[in-house]
Amino acid sequence: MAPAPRMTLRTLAVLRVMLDDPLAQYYGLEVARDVGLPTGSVYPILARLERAGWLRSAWEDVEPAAVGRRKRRYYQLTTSGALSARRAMSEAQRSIQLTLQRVAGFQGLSEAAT
Amino acid sequence: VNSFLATTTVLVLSFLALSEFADWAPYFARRIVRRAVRRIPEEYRDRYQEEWTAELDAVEGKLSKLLLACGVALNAPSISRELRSSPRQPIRKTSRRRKRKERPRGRRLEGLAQTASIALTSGLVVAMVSSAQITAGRIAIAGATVVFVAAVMAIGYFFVRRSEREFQRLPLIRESRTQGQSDEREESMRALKERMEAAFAALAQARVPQERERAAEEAADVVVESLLDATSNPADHSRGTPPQPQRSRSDGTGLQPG
Repeated sequence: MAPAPRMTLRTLAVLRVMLDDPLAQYYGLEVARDVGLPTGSVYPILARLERAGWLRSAWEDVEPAAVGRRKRRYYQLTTSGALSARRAMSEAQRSIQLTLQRVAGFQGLSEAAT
Repeated sequence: VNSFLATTTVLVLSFLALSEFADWAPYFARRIVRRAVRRIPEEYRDRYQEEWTAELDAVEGKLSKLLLACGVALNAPSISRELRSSPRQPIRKTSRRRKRKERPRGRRLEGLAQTASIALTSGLVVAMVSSAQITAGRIAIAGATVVFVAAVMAIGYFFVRRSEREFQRLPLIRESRTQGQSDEREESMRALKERMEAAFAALAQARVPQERERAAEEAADVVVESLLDATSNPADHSRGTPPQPQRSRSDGTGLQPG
């Protein structure tokens, strides 16, 4: 089993977009557009998630001559990937919530001190 | 009159330089992608080359293609890092000598010609903009520079055409020797490899006993098939279609197996 991928905000953003419709297939440019990231920066994230087994990728099943363009590489969440992604999202949410609570507590203490 | 002449010349030259640059942008984009692909591990190069070229085609606008290519090139080292952290993928660097051998003649000159032409055109525009007064002598120099730039670009174009012709000759010779056998063989091996990787990944991820059993069965099928493939005559693949998966995936995703 591959180790869990490194979670960054950008990774979470990609996962959030893909979790909107876990069965949908996305190509790199589409993910970048949906997430609102610079186009090139999405590929390392996709590579990382694919290596971890959270995503799988496959060539589009079309005839290039028929569609008039090259085949695209489509990415899709795997079943275990979707579950892990949901878990990672909720963990991130919890950690952000905890941080906010701490910050709020610290602010309350500072205000009480002043 | 001088001011009018200067403004017109600057405008015309800027327009020419921009349109020339825009026309070359898709070509530069492809070159940049090709260079970016060289930075990632060898076994992934074909895949990413194909993927990024398809993405470039999907982008509308010549300069947008260039921007996408630059983005990809900037992120190539991190993609490489992600891919290299895989323990089962050996890293083989292409030696500088081999790279030089593979590169068709005239490529370096072509690059030099492009760089020189862009640098000279931009220099000319900057000079025209910065000069307060335009004299007949300066216009003559500018004209001569434009002619020189055009000549350099023509030489560059000549070298591009020549190197492309040279490049095209190589696969023709190879094809006539092997009669397309090696390509089909390679394709079938790649498909089998992808299936094997997928089968083992599925096996590694399986948690439920039933799922594990199914994944193990699939992996065993692929192993047997690869053993049969390795012992079969390579010429068989050129006559028929490459080995097809025995069991198609019916997960409704529309994705190809592997």
